[in-house]
Amino acid sequence: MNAKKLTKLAMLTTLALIIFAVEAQIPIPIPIPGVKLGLANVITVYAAFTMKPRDAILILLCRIVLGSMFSGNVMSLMYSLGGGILCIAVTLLMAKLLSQNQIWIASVMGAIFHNVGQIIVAVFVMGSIAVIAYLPYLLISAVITGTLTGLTAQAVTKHMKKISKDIE
Amino acid sequence: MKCLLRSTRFWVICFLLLLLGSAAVLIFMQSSSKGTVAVITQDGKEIERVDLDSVEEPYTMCVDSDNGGYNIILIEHQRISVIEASCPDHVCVEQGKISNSLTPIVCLPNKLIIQIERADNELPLDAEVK
Repeated sequence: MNAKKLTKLAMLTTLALIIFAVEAQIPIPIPIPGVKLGLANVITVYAAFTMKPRDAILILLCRIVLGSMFSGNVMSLMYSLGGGILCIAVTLLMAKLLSQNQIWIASVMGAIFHNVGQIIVAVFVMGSIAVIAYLPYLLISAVITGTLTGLTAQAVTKHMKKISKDIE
Repeated sequence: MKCLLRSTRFWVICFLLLLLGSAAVLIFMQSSSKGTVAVITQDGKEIERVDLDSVEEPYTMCVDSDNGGYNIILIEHQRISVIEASCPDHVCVEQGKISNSLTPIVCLPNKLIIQIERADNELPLDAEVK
């Protein structure tokens, strides 16, 4: 790993962490555990479409581990990891399939599987299938927030392409 | 098959169906979610079962969890809620009072679940007639 790549990975991880920290301050009017904007997903999707799968996974894992350490909530680490691993796997698969104009689709699929992953972890942690009652809410929220963060990621990817061309 | 997976229209239809399906499930659950027995579960073990119909005076109950946390549950006539919790996010408190099985109250940090179930001797039709 050369210095340029290391810097880029560190920059993206930092960005994702900042977005994550700022988002945590935004109150959500829906009292369902797990419903959130998922703005940090913009970075994950961007990385999945422009970098090697290994790098995208690295950024996500660093963000999740550091993020839960900063927020001081160790319990949330398990949920984030369960959701995050499923999310990145699906996003990377979709990135192989889709074009640069369909980035948002990968984001929605990632969001859906992120929430499914969280529910699966919750079923094991709570030792009860009652939490599945939240799945419909989480699916609706995933499609809406996934589309929004996905369109953002798509715009970011396009602009970054332009900028890096100008530099070269 | 690969062609279909690459088309934007296919995915838009999929997402719309998912939205409609989830909404339909929620509406369906709403209509079939009458019940009066509150079941309080912690860490997968049932610790309390209260018939909310027979509660006349509201009372509170404190449930301690293994990690040193606690939840204070308010039990009222036909309603149940968490009014205080040790966790940082307070999702369970913000959820307010529940009176049906549509959304159980879940406290993830303290592994607490409050669900409302139908009493065993109560037939679904009876509930409609009442």
